[in-house]
Amino acid sequence: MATNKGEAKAAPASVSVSLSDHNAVSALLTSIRGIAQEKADSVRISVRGSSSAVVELLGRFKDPELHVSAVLTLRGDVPTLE
Amino acid sequence: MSSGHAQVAYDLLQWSGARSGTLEVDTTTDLATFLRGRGIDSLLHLASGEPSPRQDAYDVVWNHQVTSTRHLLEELVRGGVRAVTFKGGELVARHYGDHSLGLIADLDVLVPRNQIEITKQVLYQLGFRHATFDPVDRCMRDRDCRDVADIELHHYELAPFTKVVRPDDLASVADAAAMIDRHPLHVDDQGPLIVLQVDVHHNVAADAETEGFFERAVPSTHGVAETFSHADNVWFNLTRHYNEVALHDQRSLRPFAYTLPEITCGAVDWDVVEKVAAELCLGPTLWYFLAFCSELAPGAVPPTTLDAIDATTTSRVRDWGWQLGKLFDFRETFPREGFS
Repeated sequence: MATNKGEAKAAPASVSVSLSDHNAVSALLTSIRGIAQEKADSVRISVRGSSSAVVELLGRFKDPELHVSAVLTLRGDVPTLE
Repeated sequence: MSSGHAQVAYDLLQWSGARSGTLEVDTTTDLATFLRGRGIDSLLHLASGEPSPRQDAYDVVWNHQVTSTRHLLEELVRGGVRAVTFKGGELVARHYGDHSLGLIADLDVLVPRNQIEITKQVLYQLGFRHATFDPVDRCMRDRDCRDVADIELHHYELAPFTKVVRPDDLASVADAAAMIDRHPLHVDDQGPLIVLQVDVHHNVAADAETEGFFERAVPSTHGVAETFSHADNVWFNLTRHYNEVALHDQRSLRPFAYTLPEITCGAVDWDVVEKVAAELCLGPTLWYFLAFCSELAPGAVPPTTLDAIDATTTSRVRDWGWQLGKLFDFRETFPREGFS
């Protein structure tokens, strides 16, 4: 539930959203970015998916130092499974 | 398309091969940000000799990480564990001494799979546990047991072990710590803190065998336990990084900064590199970045080794080209010569 700027600050609240439609994730993140800049104190995101998907998502936050260890295969003649 | 920073980054990596002499660089905020994003801003300070509060903070953190690493390795060896270090936690100590290359996230250590339990026991006894720093509430939080189980079910490494320390000398870099504030250097209401992290591996890739690493292991720079041979450091770091850059959008240049000194030190057994490349059919996943290192340090890589690696597979299933445009932030030009 959104509140307008200038309204008295409500008690802290949190909400959990589960998305099974991958196409909706991008839109949600865009919305979160706007809300985080203007209204939210903080945003905590939990992502469940393959290692590569999570790494890709975190990579969009432009923090290359963020430590995420992906499961790797090294054989050069085998398609990647990640 | 080039940001103009690529040449400086290239020059700094070249400097890392010998680590001697002074490099004059016109430092700008954009350049510093770019190098920091690539994990090699330390090279700028080390090569130019310019003082840097950030580097001072990196070095303070690093020296406590080294102290902790040595103590952990001593305890593991005392417990009968065959501990083999690899990646930055070993090679930065070997080639940069008291200086760090940015913030080193963790110590990577390979142990035999049948010694995992004693390894965990030693870590718990030293105060390590499965926990992460919560950047919102600014405190450590234990990982949920299901998360730990999930990581360890699908991975060849344990969930990271961490421990917080607050050494007195951290106060001397408090301002830089507040500015940096990312793993493993954070600030809470008591001041700056270091999150020591250990990644315990029972393998280093989902499709690799560990016997060769143990057979070829050599004494660690830390003065206790063992580490990968020079040859294993070279092929493993470069192949691993090539896969990570291509598949996982990894942008760090730091693996070159601690692997190139391995190549230039003259101690690499290139027969081992060629043998492993043949066994794993590494082909392009090793050739591109090793050829790049050869460009950075002319004469350091035998041309016959590059030819041998190139011949290890005809498969191009993992041939993703040079990957240098992505790393150095330029767009590679159209390969006209391929059509001539």
